[in-house]
Amino acid sequence: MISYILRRMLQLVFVLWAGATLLFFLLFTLPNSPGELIAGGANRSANPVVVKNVNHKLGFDRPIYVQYGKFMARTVRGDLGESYRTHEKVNDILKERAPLSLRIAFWAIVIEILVGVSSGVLSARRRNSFADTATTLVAVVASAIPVFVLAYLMKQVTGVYAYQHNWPGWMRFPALGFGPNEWYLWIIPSWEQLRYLAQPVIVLASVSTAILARITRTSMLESLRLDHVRTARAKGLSEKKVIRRHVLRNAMIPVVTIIGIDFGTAAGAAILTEFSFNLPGVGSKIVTAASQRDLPIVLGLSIFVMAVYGVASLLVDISYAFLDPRIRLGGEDG
Amino acid sequence: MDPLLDVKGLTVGFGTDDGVVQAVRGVDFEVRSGEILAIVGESGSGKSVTAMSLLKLLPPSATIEGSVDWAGESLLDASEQRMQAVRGNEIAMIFQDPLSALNPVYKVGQQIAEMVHSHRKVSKADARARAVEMLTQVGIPQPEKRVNQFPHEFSGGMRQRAMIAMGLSCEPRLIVADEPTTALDVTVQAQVLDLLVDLCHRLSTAVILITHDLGVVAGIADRVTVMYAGRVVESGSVDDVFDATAHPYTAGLLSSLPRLDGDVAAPLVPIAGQPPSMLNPPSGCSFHPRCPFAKEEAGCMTIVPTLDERRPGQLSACHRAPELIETGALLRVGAPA
Repeated sequence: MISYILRRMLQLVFVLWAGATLLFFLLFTLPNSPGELIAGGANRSANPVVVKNVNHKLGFDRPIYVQYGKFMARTVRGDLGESYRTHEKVNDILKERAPLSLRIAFWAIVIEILVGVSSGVLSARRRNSFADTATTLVAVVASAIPVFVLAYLMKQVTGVYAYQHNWPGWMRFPALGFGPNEWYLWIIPSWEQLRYLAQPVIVLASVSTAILARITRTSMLESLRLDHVRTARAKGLSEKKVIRRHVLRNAMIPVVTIIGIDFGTAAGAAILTEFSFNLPGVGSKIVTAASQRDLPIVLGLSIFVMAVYGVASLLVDISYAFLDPRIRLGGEDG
Repeated sequence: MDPLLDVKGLTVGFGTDDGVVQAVRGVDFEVRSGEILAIVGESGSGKSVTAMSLLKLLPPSATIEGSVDWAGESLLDASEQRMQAVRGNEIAMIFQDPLSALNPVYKVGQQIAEMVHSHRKVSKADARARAVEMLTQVGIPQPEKRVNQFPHEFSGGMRQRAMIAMGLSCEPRLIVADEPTTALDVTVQAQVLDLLVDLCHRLSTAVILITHDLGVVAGIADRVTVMYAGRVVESGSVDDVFDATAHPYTAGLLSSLPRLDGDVAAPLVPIAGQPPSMLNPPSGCSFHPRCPFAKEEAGCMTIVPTLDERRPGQLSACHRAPELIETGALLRVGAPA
């Protein structure tokens, strides 16, 4: 197991390298003149001589392999470079934004697991009942409403209407921003923080929760039909134990897979949610930087997102071995 | 002696989109303490459904009627809670394919211990010790090590032994074995059956052995009930049914078996035709479309035959049984003309 994890970590390093390289070359095939961005700006035309000088000084007129070598050399040392436009260090941007993204993603995934899995289980157990139909309906609606529409509606109700009509304090939520940034044990929000956190997290979790509920339901129904479930009933176990011990665990593999992917997405690509609530997260910064052709930021933050995906999928793979002993990790002893 | 299990008029239907499938239609049988009853029939004859309905393990789409009397208690009227106490503890089941019938994600020992745990107030360690003891009893070598292994680490025969160990771990009074050897290699089938029978005799556990294999029945069962299209067509002691069958279907089954004591060169005679669809079973005697003795005048095509005593302790449901027994025609089924 340990050697498997170490091997997977090495693999992750390779994946990060390959991903960064691919992105580097892809981005540099774009029409791109850092000198113009640095010397002038997107809309102002800078003096061509100045642009040329800047490009020369910073090495942007050198062959692409030389630039790649420099990029790799500093990236390996943990330096993600600096913004062309603002000269902000990408490391600092990451330090500022990554915790927020990770925290929001974590809580969104908690909601996804709690609500998604339990409503999926309920649907499967009471198949074709009112509860099943209702969850299905809610799931379809939730996954169909665009995130920014849901965010707008929530803000209107709890952030605007609630204040206008003097709703009790606990029903009012601030509509924008990220509040006091108060956390216990890095991840648990303070009460005031929770009021800022709740809405973005719910919005971010909405679609994936709905999808996870559907997947859990299907997986449970499949698992319920297995022969060993009949054996479990024939042993005289209560229905609750049959479901908990013999159905749910076997149904978890596809569910865990989805959760892993969702965590990566929630941490790195929660763009709509971040824009809707004006949150300084990683995903929205990548989008902004990309539209400004601020390549170091795009590259640096993308490497972070890739790393999050990588770690999440490693955790998922390790969990497989616990969920199903027939899955041998990394082919240890065959 | 009062029977341990007395089933009367058991009828099971499944609602499907095409209509109600009558899988079991008025089945009667009884099992006495410590005896081995074989229920024999082809696929679709309703034998497995009969077994599952005893413990009410059928899906909710099934409707069960009739009566199942378990040592004086009506199981069909019992609450779900009471059924959970019966399942495994008083009546245990052994299933056909032990690979899929055991949960792949739990250790074999855990699965046996879980059974013990749910019916006995025992500590975790005691439940585990019981699992080791049961594995020893079913002849699994190195039980201390095997108890910590997963089903996929067992061979087919070992898995079925483990199933038997699980089934007997709470010392039930009746074991329902649904085709317990069908999924096994021929070479281990006999071993596993012998083990089951041997253990049940020792613990004086009654057995309902469900099988399509008459060869299995002959060696070990005390009595046999033959099912066809959801009905009992013949029942009696193994000797009576095998040596002097009173039903054309049983006669057909017997003649399709190779026999060591007969003419080895004689061809095996299959029963012509297909088992009927239970969505729309034939009128009258369900076997009449395939029966070489079916006769319009006897009512085979129109009247459902009743299960009547033909000889002491031997019942058969055939309009022409008295006549066929008299002339010995059934004994010559499949014999060269």
